[in-house]
Amino acid sequence: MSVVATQECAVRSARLLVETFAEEKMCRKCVPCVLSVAQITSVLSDLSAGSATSGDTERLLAFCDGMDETAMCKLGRDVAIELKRLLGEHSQEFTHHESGSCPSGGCTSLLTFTVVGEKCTLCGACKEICPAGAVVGEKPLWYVADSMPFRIRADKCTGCGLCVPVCEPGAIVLQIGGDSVG
Amino acid sequence: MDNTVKVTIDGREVSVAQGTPLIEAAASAGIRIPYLCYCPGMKSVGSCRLCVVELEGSRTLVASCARQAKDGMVVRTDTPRVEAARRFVVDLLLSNHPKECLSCDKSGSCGLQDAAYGLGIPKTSYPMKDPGYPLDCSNPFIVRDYNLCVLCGLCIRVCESQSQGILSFMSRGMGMKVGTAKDLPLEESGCDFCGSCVSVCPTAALMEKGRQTRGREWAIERAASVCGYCGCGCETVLNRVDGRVVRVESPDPTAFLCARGRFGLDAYEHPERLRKPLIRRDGTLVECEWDEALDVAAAKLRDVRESAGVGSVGVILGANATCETALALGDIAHRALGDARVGSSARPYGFAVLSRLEESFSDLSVVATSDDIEAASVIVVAGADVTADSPAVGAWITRAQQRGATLVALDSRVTGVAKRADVHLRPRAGALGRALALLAKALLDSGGWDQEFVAARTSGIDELRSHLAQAAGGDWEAETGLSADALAEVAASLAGAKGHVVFVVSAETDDSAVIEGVIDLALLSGCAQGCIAPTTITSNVRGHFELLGDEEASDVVGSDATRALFVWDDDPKGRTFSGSELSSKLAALDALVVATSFMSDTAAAADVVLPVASVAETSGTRVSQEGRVRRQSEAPGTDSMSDFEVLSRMATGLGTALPWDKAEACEQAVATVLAAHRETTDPTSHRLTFPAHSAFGDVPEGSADRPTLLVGGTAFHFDDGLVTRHSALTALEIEGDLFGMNSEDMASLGLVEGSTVSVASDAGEVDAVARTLDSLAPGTAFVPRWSSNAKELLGDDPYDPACMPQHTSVHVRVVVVGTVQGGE
Repeated sequence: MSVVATQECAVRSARLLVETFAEEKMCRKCVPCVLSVAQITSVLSDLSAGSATSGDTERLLAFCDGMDETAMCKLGRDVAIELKRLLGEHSQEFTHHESGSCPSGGCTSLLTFTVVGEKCTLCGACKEICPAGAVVGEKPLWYVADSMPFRIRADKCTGCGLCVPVCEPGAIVLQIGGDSVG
Repeated sequence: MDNTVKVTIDGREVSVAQGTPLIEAAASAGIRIPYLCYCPGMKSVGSCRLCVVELEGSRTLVASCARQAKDGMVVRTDTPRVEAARRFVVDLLLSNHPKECLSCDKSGSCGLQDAAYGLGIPKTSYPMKDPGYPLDCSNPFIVRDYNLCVLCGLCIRVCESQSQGILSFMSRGMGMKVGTAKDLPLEESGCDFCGSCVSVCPTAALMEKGRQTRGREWAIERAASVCGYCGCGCETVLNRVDGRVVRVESPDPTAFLCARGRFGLDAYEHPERLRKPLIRRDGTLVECEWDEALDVAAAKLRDVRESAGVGSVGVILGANATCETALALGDIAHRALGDARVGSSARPYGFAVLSRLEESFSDLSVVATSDDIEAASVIVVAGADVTADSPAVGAWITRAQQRGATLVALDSRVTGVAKRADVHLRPRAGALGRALALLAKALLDSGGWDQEFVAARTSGIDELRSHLAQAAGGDWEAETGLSADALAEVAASLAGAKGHVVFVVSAETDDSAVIEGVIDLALLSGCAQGCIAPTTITSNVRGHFELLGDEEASDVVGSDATRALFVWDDDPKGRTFSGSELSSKLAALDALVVATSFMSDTAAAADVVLPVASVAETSGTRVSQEGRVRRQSEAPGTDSMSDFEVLSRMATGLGTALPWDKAEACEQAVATVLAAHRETTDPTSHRLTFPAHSAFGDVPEGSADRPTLLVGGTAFHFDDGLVTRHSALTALEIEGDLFGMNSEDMASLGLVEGSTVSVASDAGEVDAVARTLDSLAPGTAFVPRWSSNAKELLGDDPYDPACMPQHTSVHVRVVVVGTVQGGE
């Protein structure tokens, strides 16, 4: 769970449900259950990684229906029904994921952290703490006329959020689905 | 009680026997339900979910293969709900199945292809999930491509039910895969390459390597035939494309064929296969045309007979020759060659045992068939290594076990069967006859024998009692190494058998006490029909026995009068040790005509060599060890000459003609003779007799440096290995110079795996490579039957009437003279 998550992410819950089932309960005795679970897991991980395509939610529903109808035992049918419930209750959240954003902040790959230049005091605390080396920029030096401002590279950022609490002026903001949070 | 039930399927009322799966009930009404994991004759698991149907009263869809029909069931197979479910399953499977149908060998007989076609699904609507498993094609016969697997589990179930049970499902991340323990390649996994898994696989996940790119499925012509590689006489279906065998199938997917039967015909495609006759010119054998070869062969034999008189020409009939060949050669010998003597090489492979059975039971209905074995409640395997010598018998036994049969093994070795046995008694090597006698005594003492049957139907029980009294006198328990308790336990399971008891024994056993003991036990158990299974390692012992009779067996080669020989599909010289008299006799003959498929030691000394057609190239009849008469298929369009044509032209060349104008007439004559042997008499009309008992031989004392030699078969070579040496089977076979010993014995001699040893017997001395074989008891050593070491150490003349082939028994003391540390 990301340090910045505001609430439980439905896609993460769905992943947890299906992955726990696959690892602990799935008996692997019937073909549709094994193959559906593999397909569902891959769609869910696409959704939380930002590589989803539109229609993925519909595809998930279709897998749930098929699995509910063809799985050999109750274990498989139950997980399909539970997943279908999640999809129904959080349909908007799933649609958000399809277009690459996670409203709850649970999917770290979908988070965007930005340094607000006006607030930044150029202290460099964010660069020191960033485990991914995603923060670029340098502290100003007395003998250098100008310095490169601090910036977070989206391609390197893992969305861990460690930079947020160390920023005393609160210059680092998180954007979820286009809205700034915190 | 009426045991039919009525079910309604798609509005049609169907009556079927109780217990019929719904899928079969539908089939009987002409309603085809698609399936992948179902196979008639095997336990259904309902895992593929393709055969789901709607069942009134059930909320969920049910698998029609796994649900048995019950009276009043109402089933629908044609609703949109059912179709949607099936489409879902096929769609999912296609998303896991890289599409290679264009060049896939299975195309045309693939279960998944058929299912997709039936539902009209051209391609998956889901993202492709290519599992990316590596191909296992390192062994010579089976290609495993699990990317094409549909996870039906049939291979796992068939391996479990009739073979080694080495396959199982294993988790692979989210997915699942079939694999061996530790996912080892097949040849390292204990697989015996019976190919049953390939036979049941609905897709190309498991394919015969030899079948690849050799013709599309729809180009295959199928012909029912019989395997010629051992006495089991399994039925085969030869798959030919353009006249060439591209695959051997079993008649139904779950019928067992062993590695030799399924994959061993490749030998006949080998470049060294003789395809043209050879004739000796200026001391060397050169190719010639059939006309010339047959003319010269006939002239040579005729000249000897005319100059040296009656009895100067002998005929050797190979142990695997068909009944027709036996009959035709017999006719040539008697009429065309003027009372030439015929010796069948099949004689040492079981004539003695078969005639002992005839003596005691008056006919051979006592011989157990596969059905008898599969239905048995207790099976006693006495000294027969069936997994090596008669693999199908091993499969039948495994199936019987799955039905709840108790398996008892009596063998000093931990054979394949012994590993699976409920009770394994390990009498000392050479003490099997005594062990059986002790068992008979334990059964008598326990009072659990069938006293009513013995009193009413048999004679000789008093003689048996006095014979067994010896057992009480001597210290037999120490000599056999078996405890009274263990024997009493086996006697109790024989006495408590709820049904049929079957004794499996090696037909070429040289120890007459073994077959006598088995007959005693069968009679004491109250069995007279289908209760003794003598296994034979060659394919037509029973046929030769029925056609020729035991008295025909003769020392044709050894006779001084013999000046010329006509050897049909045999290699007497190759079968014997280098210094044998037989070799020098063969060299001194005035004429030697040899018919063979491959150049052999005997053929190399011949004046004329005639190529022999393979089991797949000539029609003919074989009688399996169970007594079943089986026909080889006709093979139109091959370039070899059929046995009948060769013999017919030989007869003409010798100035007579066979009494049959065509092969079919000869087959008819064979059928008549064999039918006479099968005339059933009232089994209660004749008295059964306990056999006359011969004296027990000494039990040899084996030790590490003077082990008792056990010569036995191995899983992949057939008989003397002349044919199978040219098959890819060789790649899986152990080395010919192997000298197997128990690890304790190896250690006490300071030997390591691969050490070179010098082994000497009274007959000869050879170099060999020591290998650990912990299936052997301490004080015994193993040499493969087909190896030259076996011949040199045994020093037997295969045609000496006093000698048996000594396959599973003990005879020769071996001294390990020197040990050289081998570099492994």
